Amino acid sequence: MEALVSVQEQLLLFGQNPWLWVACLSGVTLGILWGAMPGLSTTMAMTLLIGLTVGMSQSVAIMFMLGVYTGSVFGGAISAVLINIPGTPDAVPTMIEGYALARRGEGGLALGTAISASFIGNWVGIVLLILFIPAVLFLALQFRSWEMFLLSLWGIAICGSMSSLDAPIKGWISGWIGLMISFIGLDAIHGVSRFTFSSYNLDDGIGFIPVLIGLFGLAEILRVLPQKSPPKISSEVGRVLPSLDALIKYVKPSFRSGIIGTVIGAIPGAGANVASFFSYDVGRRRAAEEEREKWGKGSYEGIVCAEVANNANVGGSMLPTMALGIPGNAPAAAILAALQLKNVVVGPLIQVENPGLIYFIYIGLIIANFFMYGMAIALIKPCVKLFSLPKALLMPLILPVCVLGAFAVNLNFFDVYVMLISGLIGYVLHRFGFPLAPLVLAVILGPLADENFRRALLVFEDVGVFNVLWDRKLGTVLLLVVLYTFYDGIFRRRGRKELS
Amino acid sequence: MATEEVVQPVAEEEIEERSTPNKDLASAFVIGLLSVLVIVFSIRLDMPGPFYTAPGLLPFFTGCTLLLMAIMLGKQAIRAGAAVNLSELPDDLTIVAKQLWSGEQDRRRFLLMVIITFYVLLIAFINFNFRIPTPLDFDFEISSYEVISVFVVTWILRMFWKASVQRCFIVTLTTVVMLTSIFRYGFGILMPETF
Repeated sequence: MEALVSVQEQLLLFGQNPWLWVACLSGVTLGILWGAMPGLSTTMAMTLLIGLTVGMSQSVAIMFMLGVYTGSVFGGAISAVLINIPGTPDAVPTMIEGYALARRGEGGLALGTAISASFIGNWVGIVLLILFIPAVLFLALQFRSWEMFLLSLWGIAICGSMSSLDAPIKGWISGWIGLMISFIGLDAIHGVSRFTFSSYNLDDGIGFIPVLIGLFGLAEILRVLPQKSPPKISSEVGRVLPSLDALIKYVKPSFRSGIIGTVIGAIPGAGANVASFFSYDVGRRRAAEEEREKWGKGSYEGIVCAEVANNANVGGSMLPTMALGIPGNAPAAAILAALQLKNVVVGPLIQVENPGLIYFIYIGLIIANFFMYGMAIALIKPCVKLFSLPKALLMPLILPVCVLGAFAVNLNFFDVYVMLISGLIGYVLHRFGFPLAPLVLAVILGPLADENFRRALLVFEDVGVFNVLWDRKLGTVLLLVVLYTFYDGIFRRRGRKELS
Repeated sequence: MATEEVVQPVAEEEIEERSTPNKDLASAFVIGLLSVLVIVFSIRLDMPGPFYTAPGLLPFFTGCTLLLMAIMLGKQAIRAGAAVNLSELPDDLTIVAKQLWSGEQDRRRFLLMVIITFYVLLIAFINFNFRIPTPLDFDFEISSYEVISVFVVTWILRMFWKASVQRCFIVTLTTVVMLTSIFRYGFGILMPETF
């Protein structure tokens, strides 16, 4: 009943404030355009556009970011299908199938199928988010300092493992570097300056938004701009919307891919990329013999599997973000950053500290999904024109956005220096094969881990180790999960590698 | 078949740059040094309360585990064929550094890094702001940020896009003015160093 009243209140808010709709529509539009442009990822869109939300009210900013997130995840499919260049890495399976169809003159229908699949994927993600968030929140409320520390540690560890599948150790190192960055500044318990080297600017710590912009914006410019890869444009779009019969045919793979996308989205570090590839692979194995023959040569079912999964990932990634304060992937970390910028603290107490926010986000995601569907169809043709622009033109124009985005958060030029250094470090880490997502996640989770670790040790001062393990069963389970994550990364993968 | 090649789950970020054992060994060496520094600095931090709440406690553990990871990475690199002889390590590091900056693309990238650093420093140290009255009852503002951005981005565009200077200038001017107008007039955000 209480939930129903809350939903009604939030619906009323949407009815009274047209800016919420405008912000969402603008976000979706920008997101689709951004995602459609080769080389400009969802994370990059999210991180650079955070700067714009500084001047917005809390609810308008959230709607804008949800719009960008939903739009940019789909946007990657447009260039993937039409010009054989995935706008975002998760659109690679869509590219394989979609471009093959486009060459046969079915590019429009391939895109229409991708749009419909994205729409369905978003719905699956939203429904599963609504169904499971109460259970996760209930569980999250049992968490104390010890469990929060272990959860943060697990978030960084699993993000490291998932974002660097070949060499998890590199993902963990990246996360540990992020932890060290998060320790810079005044310590939260005693107010002691840590690693500040007498710099007043460092006393406040390193903000994660400039780090995020540097790692995913500037580092990307440094990586992509000097490359030479001119895309070729296909001017034919053809019929766009698929028939209802065709959609009904794909109900089963849609449902399966939706669950895969949502579950993977809920695991920190495993983003839309992992979701779309995994679902595509499972889809191929499960497809009928006749359909399986088409995979790799232009399969609509392949597009459905990939697009449903990467869009369901949006809802999935919001699950740990809202319930635990641990972002499911890098774009969700940007949502978290935008929320923190507006003084919204998410986590187990979200319902107490920000009553109604969860319902607001549910409604926001539903509205963003409808806008995504409409705008995706409307924007196909302008997108074809827009992404025909070369990267050598687009990338330099993003540079002033990086500077403004980093500066706008605190109006402090020191953040621009942080962005610059993060970008340079991010580029070097990339060249040495280190993933960047665990670093960002650790910068966000570091203070939480540090404070809770020391608090937990203080609480356990006179308690024996075995008592701690026995009395705090949830903590013990989490500890085992953390240890298993490291064990799996070090020993099991080594074994698998040797076998292969 | 193409399908077989791509059905490998890849990570959140596309790591197109495949690491070599020498690169990994160099990384392990640098990370090892960094972790030792962190351990030393965390031991030297003040301890105002009990040991359990020491500000350097988690940084110390982080430094120790990072050192362990660096050793593991180094071991993996050596097992994969990186040079083992410690006396050759400086030479190996030089080779890695040369590999990173050897091609034309890498030289262009290095130049880009220098230009971007120069751009940020220019914005930090040059500071002016003009107000131009308009008949529409508002002052159009031009700050050092816009002027510097237009010139530097035009330069970068000229280098990489290779269009005429006029074309690069017009594209940059339009984009920068649009961008700053959205931030300044749309969201009331001040430009860097204009207050």
